[in-house]
Amino acid sequence: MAEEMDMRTPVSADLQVNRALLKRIFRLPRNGDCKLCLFRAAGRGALLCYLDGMCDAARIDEDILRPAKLPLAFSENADAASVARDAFALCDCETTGEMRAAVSAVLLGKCAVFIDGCEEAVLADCRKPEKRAVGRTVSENVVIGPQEGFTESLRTNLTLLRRIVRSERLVSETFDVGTELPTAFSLVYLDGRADEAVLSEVRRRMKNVDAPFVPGTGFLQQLIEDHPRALFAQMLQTERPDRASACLAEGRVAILGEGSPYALIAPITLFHLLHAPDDRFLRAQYGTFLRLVRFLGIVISLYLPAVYTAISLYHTHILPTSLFTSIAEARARVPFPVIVEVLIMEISFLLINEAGTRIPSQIGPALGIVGALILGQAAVSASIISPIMIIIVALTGLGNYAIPDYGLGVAVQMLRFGMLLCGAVWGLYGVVLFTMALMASLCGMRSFGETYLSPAAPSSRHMELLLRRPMQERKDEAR
Amino acid sequence: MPDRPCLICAALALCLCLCGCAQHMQPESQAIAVGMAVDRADPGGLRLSVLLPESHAFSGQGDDASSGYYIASATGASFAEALTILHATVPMTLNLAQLKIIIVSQEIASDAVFPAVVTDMFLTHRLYSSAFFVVSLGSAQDVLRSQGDVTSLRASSAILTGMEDRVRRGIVPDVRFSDLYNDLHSIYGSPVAILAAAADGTHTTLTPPGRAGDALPGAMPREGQAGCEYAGAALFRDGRMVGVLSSLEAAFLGYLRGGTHAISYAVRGRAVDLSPVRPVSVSIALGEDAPHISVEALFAVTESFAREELARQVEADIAALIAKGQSLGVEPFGFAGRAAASFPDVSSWLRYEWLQRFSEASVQVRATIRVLRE
Amino acid sequence: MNPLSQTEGTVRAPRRALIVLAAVSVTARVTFSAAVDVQTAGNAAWLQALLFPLACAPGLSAFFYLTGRPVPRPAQSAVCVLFFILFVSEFSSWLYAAAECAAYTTFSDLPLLALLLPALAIAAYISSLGGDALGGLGQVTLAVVPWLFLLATVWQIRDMRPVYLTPILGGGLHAILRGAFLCAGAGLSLPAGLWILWGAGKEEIPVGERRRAACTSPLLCALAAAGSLAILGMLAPNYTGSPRTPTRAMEQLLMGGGASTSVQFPLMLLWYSLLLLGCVFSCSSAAQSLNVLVPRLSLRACSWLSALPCLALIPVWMRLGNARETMLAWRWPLFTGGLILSAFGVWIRERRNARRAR
Repeated sequence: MAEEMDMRTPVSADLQVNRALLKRIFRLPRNGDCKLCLFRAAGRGALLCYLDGMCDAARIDEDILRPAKLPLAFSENADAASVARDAFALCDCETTGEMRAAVSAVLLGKCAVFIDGCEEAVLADCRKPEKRAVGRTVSENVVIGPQEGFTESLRTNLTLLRRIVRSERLVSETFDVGTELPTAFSLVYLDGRADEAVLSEVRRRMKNVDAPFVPGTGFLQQLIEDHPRALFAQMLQTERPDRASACLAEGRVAILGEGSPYALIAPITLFHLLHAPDDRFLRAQYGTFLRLVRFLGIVISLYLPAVYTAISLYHTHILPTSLFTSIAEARARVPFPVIVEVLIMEISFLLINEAGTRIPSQIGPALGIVGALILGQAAVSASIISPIMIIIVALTGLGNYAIPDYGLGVAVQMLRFGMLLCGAVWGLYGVVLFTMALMASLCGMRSFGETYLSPAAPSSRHMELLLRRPMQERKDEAR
Repeated sequence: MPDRPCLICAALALCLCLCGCAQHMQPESQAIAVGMAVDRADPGGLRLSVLLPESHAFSGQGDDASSGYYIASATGASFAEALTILHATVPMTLNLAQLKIIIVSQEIASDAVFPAVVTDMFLTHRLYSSAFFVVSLGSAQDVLRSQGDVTSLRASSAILTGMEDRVRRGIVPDVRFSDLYNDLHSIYGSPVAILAAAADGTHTTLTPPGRAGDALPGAMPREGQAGCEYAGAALFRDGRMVGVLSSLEAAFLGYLRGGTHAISYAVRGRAVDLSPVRPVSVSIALGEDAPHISVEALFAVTESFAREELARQVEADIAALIAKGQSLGVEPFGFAGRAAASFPDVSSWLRYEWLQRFSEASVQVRATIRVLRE
Repeated sequence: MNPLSQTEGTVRAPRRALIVLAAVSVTARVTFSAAVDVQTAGNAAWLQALLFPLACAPGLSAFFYLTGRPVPRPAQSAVCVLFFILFVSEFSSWLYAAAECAAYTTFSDLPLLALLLPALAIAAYISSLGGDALGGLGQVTLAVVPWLFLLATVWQIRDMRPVYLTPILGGGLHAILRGAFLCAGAGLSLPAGLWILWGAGKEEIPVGERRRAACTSPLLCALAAAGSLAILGMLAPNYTGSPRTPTRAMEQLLMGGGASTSVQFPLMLLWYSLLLLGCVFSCSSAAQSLNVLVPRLSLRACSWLSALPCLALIPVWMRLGNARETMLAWRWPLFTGGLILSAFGVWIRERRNARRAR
């Protein structure tokens, strides 16, 4: 309560009052990061408040303190705006009479200058936070195409977008999301191209977020999606500025957040999660071919274990006799039923997958040896699993890795178990039942008003499904 | 924390998945029958035999001398009873869904019990319809046993490969179990089956020059590892076998039924290959009493040698084949289907009594031989 | 979920997608009915399918008239009660067909209930999802099923004999006409179901969509069903000249003649999908009828209340054997009567309003 009252207090003309207030707010002297610097400027007392490490100390010295100490830097009765205009050698200066705004600016990395006798503080932008340099993407590698990826700095990410989309219609609206610890997010769109209804809905949802702290875009996505409990994401997370720019050109909106090297794109369809970033940089024929390969990978990943289980238990007459005999002979010494064998291998593969993600890079190669030895040779030699199961799981895994979107890959892995259980219980009938339920769920989903299975259902000619249209035909990039 | 209904559903699903754990359903717990044979049993009833692979057959752990297959058989008053006993005596779950060949002995095929046997087979759940249907001259079990003797190939592949090759050459008709069952009950014509016999090498007959195709299975002058011979066709009327066709006659039968495979022939002792230029052209004039059937055959050969004599010989062979069918009271040539198109509905077609009228039909055959690259 | 309005022209309205769902379901029903349930025409079943739109003409005309204007509440309620009963019975019969199909191709040692329950649950779940899900499912099915059918057809070309379609009239003209009316009993669920799914006369439907639903779709269904039946008819002769048993007919549908057993893979997927889609359509039509009658009930509650009575009807089907043919005979007058009754009610109200206006 006291803290809230302190924040609501306006900036005082009395420097000492401001100093005491700032000490309370920033927990000084406990908090070593916050610096309060008293100095005199044009005969008047002044107080500089900033966070160590987030401001460029050299710029503070050169552009604030040195000019302020000049004898005629500003007049005796000058207000904060005049001081900012006349004294400081910074282009980005603004004034505020609210302590809350001043504190927020300091937290963003600006420095606040309080002047004795002024009821406003000057907020000077001399930020130089430590940040990672723009580097290669981590999760969206391409063979041909740009290699730059977003970083954790919101300003840098916006700059990366502006370098590609050089248009005065590119608008970025900034919001603070989080009731207790706000995080800055930017809503970026092409004015006149993005749907106004979608824009207003995105704004509404972002403003209505009720969480105390939203650390990044991933968190925000779960709070503003249409179906947060669904397995499939209704917003695309991309690390690539080129991909985000392409989506902006199509009329979609992007959300960037401070501390997140990913942009959220909406509205999307399921097929956006299937398209790889480099499809656009390849010829239409290559792009189409690779999309078909990817689609085949998804189908194999989702269906192969279930169909294998269903057919080998219930529909053996579908198999050629020699294949069926091979399966039977391969399984002759295996002590487990087919479904248990499949589950053992699937769970082992998932464990290896997860361990490979978490393991330190120095012992990563050892994991490959362990996986190959234990799951491959040893398990087959010990007759715990049959050789054909190795092939099934390997193909399934490869199909999963062909999915460009990480989230979609995890969703497919989860669905695979459901499909497997249905196939084990009811055969192909169960597989069809599960598929129908899944398709119906996908058809019923929307992403900010856009049906999730567009252009398949409902059909639309303007969007790409699997075939990559030649660039000459893509005259209208809009939805 | 997931909702309680989701947890309950997940637990149910986990329990239900145990349905797939029943041992009898696992692939390795099934005895896969590759072939089936039906013989008359002593003193009565039917003997049902199935060809099963041995469990170690292709894993390299068995005795080198073994063929990898064995015969399991059971005897019963009917097919269904014999099958019940077979199910009970085969050590694993008998799987009839992979049958490649069904062999019935001539004794059974000629008996009044044959339609009942075929119907019982048809009603057997999971006995699927795409197996080749064979009538054996002699013991069906012997023919079945010889299927497992082909080395380096699995029996299922060997059966399929061999049969497809013979069908392609026209030596035997392409008849599956479903074809036989359908034609047995059909209103369009008479069924046929593939003819086979176990060859013991003691009853060979040298065929006259230029008539190599006249040989019947079991009497072919040859030696080799294969223990059975396939050639020709069996003819049926009213659910019973009434005659046989040689391999040459079967080749012409296939041609009359619309096939376009080349026929190995001979004229003046010299071998020729008759390649149909187009499917046979048949026109049927339905008369008041008996129909008139005109058959026009057009073949191509690679060299001009006794063309006219060849054409006359082909006409004579085709006419003789049709006359054989007329004398036996069967019509397996596909003429019925063409004639039925002239009738508005099934009842009027049935009133016409095609089989009886066919036996009295006048037949005109015209064959033309064309030389390729002339 | 927060629905947003869509920019016109980029996404088709759900009504059109529901037409696709209805058309695919009805095509499957007519094909299944003519191939399995109605046997008298023999291999001329394709002619039955070709003629069924004529038999549906009175019902389709009433549907076209109805969907152009709001329906008064009394007529709406009466028809919804009738359609609810019809669609629940239809749902249960198609559920039974789907379970029979699964039981034949997979195993005979699981009780039929173990095959019925998941299909019932899935159908109820899907119908509770509403218009987008239903329409989308219909469109996805339409995108996939023709390829499966094409694959199965190409696989079986060796076994196809056009002569099996002769004599051209098969069981006779009388049998064909009777069969066409019975198939119309299945086909009339298109206008009836669409009338309900489109809001049971709450709003006027644009003439383009009405025309698509009442004219174009039944014709396309007839062509698709006739084509499918002609192909099926070429696979095996109507060898005895008398009807096959439903079991034999379904076996023929699933076995694919004498082709290799591998062809069962696309055939099973094809028939499972179509039969289950038919169940979904019936369940959602029944649920929507109930929702119109009792607006306070949510769509989810209506879906489950429509699905559960089916379990009570299944033992009736099992005891009666193939009662689907009998049911089809009753459907035509009941569906047609319901639609014409509504149309009559609307006509009376319009006359009354016109008289008052004068």
